[in-house]
Amino acid sequence: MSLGVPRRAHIVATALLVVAGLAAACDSGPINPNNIGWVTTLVDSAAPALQNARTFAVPDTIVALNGGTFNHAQDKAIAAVVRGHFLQLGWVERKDTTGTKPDVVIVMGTNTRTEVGISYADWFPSYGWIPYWGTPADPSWVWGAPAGAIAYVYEVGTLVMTMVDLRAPRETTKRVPVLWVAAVNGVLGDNPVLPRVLTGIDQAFVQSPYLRIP
Amino acid sequence: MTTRRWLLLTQLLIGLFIALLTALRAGAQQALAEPSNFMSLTTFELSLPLGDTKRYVTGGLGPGLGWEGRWTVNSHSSAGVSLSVAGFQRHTQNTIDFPSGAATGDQLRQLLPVQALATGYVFPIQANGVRWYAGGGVGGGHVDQDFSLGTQQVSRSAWHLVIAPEIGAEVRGGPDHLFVGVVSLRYNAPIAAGNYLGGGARNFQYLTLRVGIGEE
Repeated sequence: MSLGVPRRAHIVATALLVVAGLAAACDSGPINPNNIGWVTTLVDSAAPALQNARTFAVPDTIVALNGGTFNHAQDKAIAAVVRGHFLQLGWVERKDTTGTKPDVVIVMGTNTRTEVGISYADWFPSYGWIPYWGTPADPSWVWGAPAGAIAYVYEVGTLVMTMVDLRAPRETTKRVPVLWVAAVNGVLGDNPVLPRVLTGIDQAFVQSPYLRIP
Repeated sequence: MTTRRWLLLTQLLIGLFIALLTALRAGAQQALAEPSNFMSLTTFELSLPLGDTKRYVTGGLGPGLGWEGRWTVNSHSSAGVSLSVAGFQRHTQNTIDFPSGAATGDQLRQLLPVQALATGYVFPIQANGVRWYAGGGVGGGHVDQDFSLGTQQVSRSAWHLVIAPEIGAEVRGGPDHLFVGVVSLRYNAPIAAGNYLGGGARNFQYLTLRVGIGEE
């Protein structure tokens, strides 16, 4: 039997096919910017503090984190939608900043650089700004992540909604008592596309059924 | 591709290179000693996910490629080596619930099993130019598991001992019956190992339809 060119051609063709197959099989994940609008929520849903909370407040300002800047034109519209969701779930809003404090406050921020995890150091100045807060927070405070929280990568422009328990001791523990976090990834920028933002907010509440007041 | 994937690819290419050298050496020996006792086979594969594979990438078939060298032991048996790679992927927009939260968005699940097996077959039935065979392979396999959510990717991988029973048929044609067509079904059954996403060992099984062309 002749083993010249045909055998070698077959082997080379096989090698090329296998290498091409491997290269194709090592495809990377979806990186199309249109695919980035995903939503994560983190919660310790069994925590008594969340189960007992009934009243809330939502400031109208979205904080620009990481020392960056952000177009605030849509802040009130976004805050109104978040507020509407909580009302729909049976919560009671406390607008009065001088009387009885709400049980929780939902602070919103957007990061201006990619972040991993939920420890946003630049939140701390904003806690001093929240009218119900009391003692200003500083970077020596600890971010109180929900138990078992999983770290995610948050793209630039992620809207982060954070429910902070105002009933928990803060000054002594220097711990930001977080009950719930929702992140709508990469939807806010210089010119936020409001429908996309609102769709993400809606999804955050859809996947957080434990927020409903029984 | 990640560094780990490049490492995997390098390992595969080294394995492939060794197999090719073996094939060339066998070919050279064969040229000196007729009749031929070596067959080089390229296989195009479609795999059906089963078991843990099905649970991870629900639905759909996974394409794959392979190369196999078979040495004739006697008129009713052969032995050889088999290298193969398969790819499974699933694109979804679901919500995943975790103990402490949930995530919704564009998700891509991928599995990349590669295998290097020592194979052995017997040919109990040979009729009308068709050689039916049964047998299989035993060897090592590596599974690369990827999960992408948006721009975030989490990967796990592990080596497995693989047992792969197979049935099929060979058809010969061309001048001196040098060209071979093969159709077979291989059940890829790796032993559970690793620490994959979701926690713990997994047994990523799949059933592969292999269509091969080769020459002897």
